[in-house]
Amino acid sequence: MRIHLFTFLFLIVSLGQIQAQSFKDKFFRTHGVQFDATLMPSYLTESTPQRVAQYIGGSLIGYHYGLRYNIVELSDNQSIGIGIDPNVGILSAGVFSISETSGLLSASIPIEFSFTTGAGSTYNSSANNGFSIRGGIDLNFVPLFFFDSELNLKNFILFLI
Amino acid sequence: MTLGYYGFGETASLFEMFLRYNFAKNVNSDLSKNEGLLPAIVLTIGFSTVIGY
Repeated sequence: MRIHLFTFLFLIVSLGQIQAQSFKDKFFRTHGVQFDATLMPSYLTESTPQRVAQYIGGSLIGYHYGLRYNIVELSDNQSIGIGIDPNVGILSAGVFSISETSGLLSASIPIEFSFTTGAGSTYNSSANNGFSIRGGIDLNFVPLFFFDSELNLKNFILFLI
Repeated sequence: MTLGYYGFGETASLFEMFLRYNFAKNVNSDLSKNEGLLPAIVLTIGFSTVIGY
C-alpha cells in the first residue's frame, strides 16, 4: 500500500512539473477595442406592458481582454483551446430607441472553445495570417443601467453624481 | 436580444479582427428594470495577422 501511494504522489508531482513548463507555451492573451450593436424588445412603459417596442443600443466603443489556453495543439499551425474574453462597452445608449428607456454601459463574458489555424494558433506557427472559429456561452449584462427617459447629457451627469 | 460585436484585438505580436454574434432571446423582458445576467450561445470568427515579432 505504501508503494502504491508513493507511486501516485510521484506521478502527480511529475505531471505538475510538466504542466508548469508547458502552460506558458500554450497560454495566449489578447486585448483591444470593439464595437457592438444590441437589438432587444422592450415595453414602452411599465404601465403598458402589452405594448412592445424595440430597444436598439450600441456601444460606441468597448474594451475587451481575452485569455486562451490551448488544450490540444494538433500541429504547429492548428490548435483547439478554451478561452474567456470579458468585455465592457463604454456606452450602450438608447440613441436609436423608440421606447422610453435608455441604458448605459454593457458587459459580457464569453466562454468559448476555439479552433485556431495559422498565425496565433501556437507559438511555433510561422504563418503570417490566421483564422479562428469559436463557440460557447456568453453571460451578458446589457445594459448595466437604465434610465426612465432618453439618455442625454443631463441624465448622464445626474447618473454620475 | 441580439448582440453583434466587431472588435480589434492585439496579442503580443498579432492583430486580430473578430466578428461575434450572440444568440440571446428575451422577448418579454421589461427593460425598465435591469434583469441582470442573461446567458446566451455565442459564435465568433476571427482573422489574425502578424504585426511584429
